[in-house]
Amino acid sequence: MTKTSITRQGITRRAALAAGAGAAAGLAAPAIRAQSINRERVILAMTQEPVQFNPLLYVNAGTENVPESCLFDALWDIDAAGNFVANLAAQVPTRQNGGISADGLTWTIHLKRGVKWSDGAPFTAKDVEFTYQTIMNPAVAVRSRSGFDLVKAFRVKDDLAIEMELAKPFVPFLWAWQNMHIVPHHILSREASIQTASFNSQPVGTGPFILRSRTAGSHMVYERNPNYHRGPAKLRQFIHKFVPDQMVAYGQARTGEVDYLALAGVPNDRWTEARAFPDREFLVYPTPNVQFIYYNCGKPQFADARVRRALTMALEMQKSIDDIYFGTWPRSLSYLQPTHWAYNNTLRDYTADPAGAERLLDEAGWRRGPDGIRAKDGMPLKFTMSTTAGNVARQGCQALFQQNWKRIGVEMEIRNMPASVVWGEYTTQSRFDTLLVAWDPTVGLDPDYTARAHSRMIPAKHRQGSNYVQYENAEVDRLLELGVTQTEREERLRTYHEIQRILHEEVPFAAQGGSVQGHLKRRQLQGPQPNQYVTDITWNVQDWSWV
Amino acid sequence: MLRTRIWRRFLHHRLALCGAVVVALLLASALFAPALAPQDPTLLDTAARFRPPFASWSHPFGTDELGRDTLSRLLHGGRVSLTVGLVAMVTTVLTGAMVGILAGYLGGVVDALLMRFVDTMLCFPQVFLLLVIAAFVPPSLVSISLVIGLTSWMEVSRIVRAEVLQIREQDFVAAARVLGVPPLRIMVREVLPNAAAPILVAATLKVASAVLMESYISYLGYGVQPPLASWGNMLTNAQGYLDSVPWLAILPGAAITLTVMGFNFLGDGLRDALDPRLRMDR
Repeated sequence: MTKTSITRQGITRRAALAAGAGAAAGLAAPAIRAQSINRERVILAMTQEPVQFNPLLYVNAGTENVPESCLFDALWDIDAAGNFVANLAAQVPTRQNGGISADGLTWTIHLKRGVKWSDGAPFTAKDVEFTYQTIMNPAVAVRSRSGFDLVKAFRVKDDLAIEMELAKPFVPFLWAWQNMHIVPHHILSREASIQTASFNSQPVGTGPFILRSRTAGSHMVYERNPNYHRGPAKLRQFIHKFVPDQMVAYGQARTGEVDYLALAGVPNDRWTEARAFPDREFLVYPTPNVQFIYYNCGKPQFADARVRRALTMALEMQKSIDDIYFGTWPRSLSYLQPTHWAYNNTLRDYTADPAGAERLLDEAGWRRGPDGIRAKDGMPLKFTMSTTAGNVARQGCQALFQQNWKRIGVEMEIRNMPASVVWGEYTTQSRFDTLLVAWDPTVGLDPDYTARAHSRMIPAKHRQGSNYVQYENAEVDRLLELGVTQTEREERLRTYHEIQRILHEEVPFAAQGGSVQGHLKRRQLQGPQPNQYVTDITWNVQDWSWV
Repeated sequence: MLRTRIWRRFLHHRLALCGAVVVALLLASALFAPALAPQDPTLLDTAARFRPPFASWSHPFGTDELGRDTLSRLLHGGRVSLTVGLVAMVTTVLTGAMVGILAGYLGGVVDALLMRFVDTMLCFPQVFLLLVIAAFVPPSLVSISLVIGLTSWMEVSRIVRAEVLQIREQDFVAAARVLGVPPLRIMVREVLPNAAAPILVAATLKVASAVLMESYISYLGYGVQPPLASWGNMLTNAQGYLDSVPWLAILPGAAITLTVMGFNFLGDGLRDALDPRLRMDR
């Protein structure tokens, strides 16, 4: 099945057969057709469907970010370079402009004048206050409270100004507000339960689009908001379409049935092919996620940092990316994407060194037994590795790692489970041996990693946080606490470089690579810009247009 | 002799003979997989991945996305799939036939209770039932097979019951009853052989569906764990390469098809050979 099989005379028998077979197998015909473009609208395809449109409540980031960015606004956005840009706020608060007090504790935010909700009601400080109250309302299951839980006092100074007092300086507070789009007080305050409000499926926002219709399981239609405070969007209509099968979605992007393919995007083995399509543009989208091997430091085999280091040294990490992800992922040595502003570029990749790994294990007292498996004090170096069952690429990585470890006398058994089981208490109560898992930093894309690396954030011990590897290091704790109080980028850079260096030495989690998506769009569609600091391509949907 | 007549009838059934040969070959290849397989089925060699079949002697059936030898994986996968298929089939047929005969022959309260139980079991979609049970039973080859068997016997029991209801009313059963033959003996000696035909057909079909069931639950994480191969998970893994590297799906698919057809023809032949009502032909 190649694109040349469709000739000028019409469709050849082979192509017809192939197309029939393809359709039967759930594939779309792969030909590139120069379909005429409907310049009034854009169709965006994803494999998943949003079901929760309330920007404070959604859980399925990636797809539920689309209604969020179409319908709502945050106080400020983050651009592709990692800079905050004012949106509903008149300006981003800093020490220089007086928005943040000298001690970092008082934040004053002035709001933009003349903004209206799509039902015509004016946007005021009351809405921001209500959003804050909803986030802190224990009866509402919001996505995250991090940062907001530090607010000691929240004051509405006038219709367009608010003031917040923090318990301690917290620089990622900007991220906290960027993460949470503002919801309307005049509608939601009348609801008995925000959790079940009809607003969650019939939202009203300040954003560039208005939700016109929704066909569950198929698509959602958005119409331009003519009164948008940053000027009306260039497209009249925006359609979000759901195509559950990735190969089918890819087929539709090739034929032009959809204008933009996001999220799962182009399968990793088709990137070369997709880059060569005429009339199509291929975009690499770095997600906030980095994939790791998680070592449970609470298990006796992994208590010694030398063991974790040796195990990591034995792995062919680069090969796993080249062969299993077809070289599409960037190799990362820390918890950040290598393109993140705070990434430590001085780290050295010590993997793919089985000889060094064997030396280190010998030194740590783990010696080969008669069966070839290493053991210490009668305990063999055997463990399991779990991830979501059915993820073919991750299974490939596991098979490779298993082989790498077998070579140095370490036995790993793969024990994959359904997502709801493996990421439930098995992970959160640290019952696993090792995991293969992709995760993002916890406060937006701020380099702060307190929730995943601070010793007080071990949920199995302290009932809070996400330090599932049970890593405890006093110096890392100190640096994490320091980093969130530093306002100068240079200072923060030093702190987070040091944190990344220690984590790279002690390896509570071994980074494999940064997860990236391959998006495919029509060449004539202008505006989409990959932005590693947000979860989804539609972050600037108001600027999309046809040329 | 009855036995030679059955045997002769079976041998005259061409398709059944083919089926028997295919099944025998598959079982033999699974049994001797370690000796027949050209290499370790879990050995990765990413430099030699996506090799097409019939292109080289080292990989006669080509290699998969991680460069593992497809022939070796098919042979070893056959062990897993056929074990699951056969054990699940036996479990299904034993349970289903027992329930069906008891319900059909005894009738009355026993029938009502058993059939309501069957209804209850049928209410749950099989995959969910499988997952619930699999969550409590630690995954192993035998436990997977038993779980599949114990969640798919209901159709068999329905079919058997229907057949038994009809057989029960026939004269030879009435005669046995009048002669004072105990019910259990009637069920085993008189009713069961006459109900063999639908049981055998159902059994052969169950082999096929059990092989596929195994791939579902492996996909959902309760079946065979990677890197161990089964035909089901080979098929699942090939999904993403359907249009670029189709043989990755075709080969395990062909193995499953062969198995299913082999067992079906075998079952057909056995039914014709064993059905007492056909004994008078020829």
